[in-house]
Amino acid sequence: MIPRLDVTVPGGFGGGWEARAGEYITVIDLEGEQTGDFVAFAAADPEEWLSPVHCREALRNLFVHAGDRLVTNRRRPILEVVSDDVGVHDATIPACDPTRYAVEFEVPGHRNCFENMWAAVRDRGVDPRRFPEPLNLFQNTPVVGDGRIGLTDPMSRPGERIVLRALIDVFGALSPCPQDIIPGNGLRPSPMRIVVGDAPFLEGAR
Amino acid sequence: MPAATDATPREIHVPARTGVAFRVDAGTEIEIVDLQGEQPADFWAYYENDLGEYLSAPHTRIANMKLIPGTGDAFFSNHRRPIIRIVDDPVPVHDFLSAACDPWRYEELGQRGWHASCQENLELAMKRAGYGDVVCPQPFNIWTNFHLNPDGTFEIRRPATKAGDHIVVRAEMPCVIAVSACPQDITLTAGLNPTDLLVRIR
Repeated sequence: MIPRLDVTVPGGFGGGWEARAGEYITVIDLEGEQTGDFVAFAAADPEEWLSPVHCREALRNLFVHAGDRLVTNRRRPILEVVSDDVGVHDATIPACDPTRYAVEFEVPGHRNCFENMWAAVRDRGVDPRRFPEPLNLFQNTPVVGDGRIGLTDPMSRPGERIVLRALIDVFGALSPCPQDIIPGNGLRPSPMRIVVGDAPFLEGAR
Repeated sequence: MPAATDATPREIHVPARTGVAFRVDAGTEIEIVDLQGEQPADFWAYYENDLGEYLSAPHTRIANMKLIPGTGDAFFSNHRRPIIRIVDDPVPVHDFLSAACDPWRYEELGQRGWHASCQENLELAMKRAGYGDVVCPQPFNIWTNFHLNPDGTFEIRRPATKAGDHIVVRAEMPCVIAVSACPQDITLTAGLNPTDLLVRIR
């Protein structure tokens, strides 16, 4: 398989990607224990996007699994989960953003997933005031009983990956989360690789 | 922007399948009454001075580290500020994981032609109240009973409310509030019989 797009995004930063209908999008946690905030938009209309809230209803499930067809805010299939080495992702909490660090951790100016992702798609006509909730790849937010949620480090080991297939033409952003104050990335932001092509990218797979 | 209404207590009757939008000061209590039972109320809140700041489900979940707030807990905005708080909640069976029903949902369920939806109710009510186009964030689905199983799956059940049951929330900032009497009559969400709601503001 010859990748049409192969981007390594440094830990704590963001990168853009795009895929045509039928192409495979492989996201690899290169060093392990890294959350990747992920958004996807319909190329034809950036007001239509991958929507975790609509996915929950469509899938009748709190979590995302291999085989699932993920949907948009207009309830149309946009991505299919082809394979998943880890099986633990989050679709319930927001991207970290300027207020998360400024208000809650008193660290104004900290890098954050919202600005990382916005910067990666801003040239495509995305409205920052209508920015979708992310799918947080490898993020580990277990429901620990009684509806309480935990926030802990990802289960992903170096080289583990998730493979998605585009069901329509899409573009999006990936932000290997810069959170280094509380658990979420093993307290050490690290790089992720995103590969787009006509087959899953399995080189170096565990 | 509409002029501020007075602070005297008032009531708004919300006919079945429709929505309403109104402004409130910080500290105002909003009581929603399920007049006939088994009727969900989709609920949205926006900061009056910037409608781009609104009650956000993901931000509320991480602020409370819970899937759904309980009595005394606040809901948070997408700017991570408390926007409303639950004051009194005798039938605490709600949904905070699902989208408002919308035209695409009814299409998916086989509806031919127009069907009222909570998203359209929100948009119409906000326009009618003079606020123009707004985003439709995931609502607080009061009395929607999507039962969550321990394995993460969930299922649609009838609401647990009986006629006259209520919930009271308090605005934590000056807000524009919207409430939709959910028109869902194809699934069990509204007990297959959408009915009226009453909103008391004080």
